[in-house]
Amino acid sequence: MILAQYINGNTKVTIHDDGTKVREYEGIPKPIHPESCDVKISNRCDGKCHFCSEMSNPQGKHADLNKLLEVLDPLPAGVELAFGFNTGHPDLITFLQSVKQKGWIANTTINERHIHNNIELIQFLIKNDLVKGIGISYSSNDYISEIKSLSSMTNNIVFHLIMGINTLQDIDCLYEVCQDQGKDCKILVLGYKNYGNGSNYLLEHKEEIENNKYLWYTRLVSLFSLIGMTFSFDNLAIDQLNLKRYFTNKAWDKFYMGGDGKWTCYIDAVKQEFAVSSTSTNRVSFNNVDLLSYFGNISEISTNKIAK
Amino acid sequence: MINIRSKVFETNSSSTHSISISSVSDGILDTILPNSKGVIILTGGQFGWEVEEYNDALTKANYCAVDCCEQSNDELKLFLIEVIKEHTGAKEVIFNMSNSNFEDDNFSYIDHQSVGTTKYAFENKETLKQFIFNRNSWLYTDNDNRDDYSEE
Repeated sequence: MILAQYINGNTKVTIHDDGTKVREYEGIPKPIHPESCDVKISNRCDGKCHFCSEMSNPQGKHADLNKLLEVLDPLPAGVELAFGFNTGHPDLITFLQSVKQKGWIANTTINERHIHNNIELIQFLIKNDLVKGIGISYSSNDYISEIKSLSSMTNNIVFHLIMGINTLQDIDCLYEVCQDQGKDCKILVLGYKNYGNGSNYLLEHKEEIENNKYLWYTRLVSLFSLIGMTFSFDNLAIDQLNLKRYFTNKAWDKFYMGGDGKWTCYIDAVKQEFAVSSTSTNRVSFNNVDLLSYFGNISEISTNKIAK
Repeated sequence: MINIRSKVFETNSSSTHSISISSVSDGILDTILPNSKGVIILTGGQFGWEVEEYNDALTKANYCAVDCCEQSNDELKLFLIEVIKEHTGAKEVIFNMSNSNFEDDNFSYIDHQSVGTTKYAFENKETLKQFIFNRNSWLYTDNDNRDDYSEE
């Protein structure tokens, strides 16, 4: 079933209720607004993940979500917003109700260790259709019962795994859990970020991480054909896995959704800054530019890079 | 042009779901898994008169390897190793076969009339990669001595 459809410059975008997105265009696509924004709404987190690239902490600040709504206002219905759940922003529900009213699609990612303490809130968000896609950062099978509880409510759970930190056995485990529930197993593979705490962790565990990454590099592809499995990748993982080698040129053109900044942008609502992605050091304040102007600029740069 | 993201919403709070594929997605190439030390060992095979068809990467790589040995062509052999290493990420590719010693466990041959048939696959790296790892590339073995054989 079609969930949303809109025209973005010379591109027609259709989003289905299972998350499938189809983009149709002639010639070179020229989007005028982002199709999705990665939005940071809080810097507070008690997860203390030793590989965290965000440097979030228990004393971190929350974003002003009214200001964020002003910034997002020009975006049409159907645009996706992805935000981290962390330990929860106090204005989260009100914000998500506004997002739903505007017709934007809210997706969130939560660390599995935060599910237990927030399960009622997450269930409320799913039941009231305030979020569609739910990413779960998976690190061990200690929280399988919580994961199953959420998975029974929606088909749109995506497990976030980091190559080099998670293992291929984690995929086997999650596949089994999903098969038991009669669900598709959806995995998002994230590249290893050598920033923030991630760089220290890499220094201390270099050999272990590199050996693990090598297994991902050589063996992951053998899991692609598992029935009921969906794999997606961020740009860093695509680069680190040299994923293009596994695609025919035609398939690559069809499935590659573009580099960071071509169709997407990052919004740090805590610091009130725009960037190409969360890892970009080049940031621009909300006070200096509006979202569409900022996006127009980075998208054009991204197009020119491809042309060159 | 059409771009498709299969079956996932954009949940990533750091970057984008830039590729999303399901088990039914087409145009995905195969691989050969290196062992725990990162080594792929090609053990050849006996490709004679049998009527067979193969599209798995390992058999096609072995066929190419045997063809290189039958032609005693080290240049082709190195070319093959390079293509396999680049695609699979293997650290080493070893040929463990013999085309002269009948008693070798991995005695390998290609019917003499078919030796050199992989020359088109060896035209460049991309064609060789597509021949070996694309499941739509088939290796057929057959002979012209069957009663029902027709050159047409």
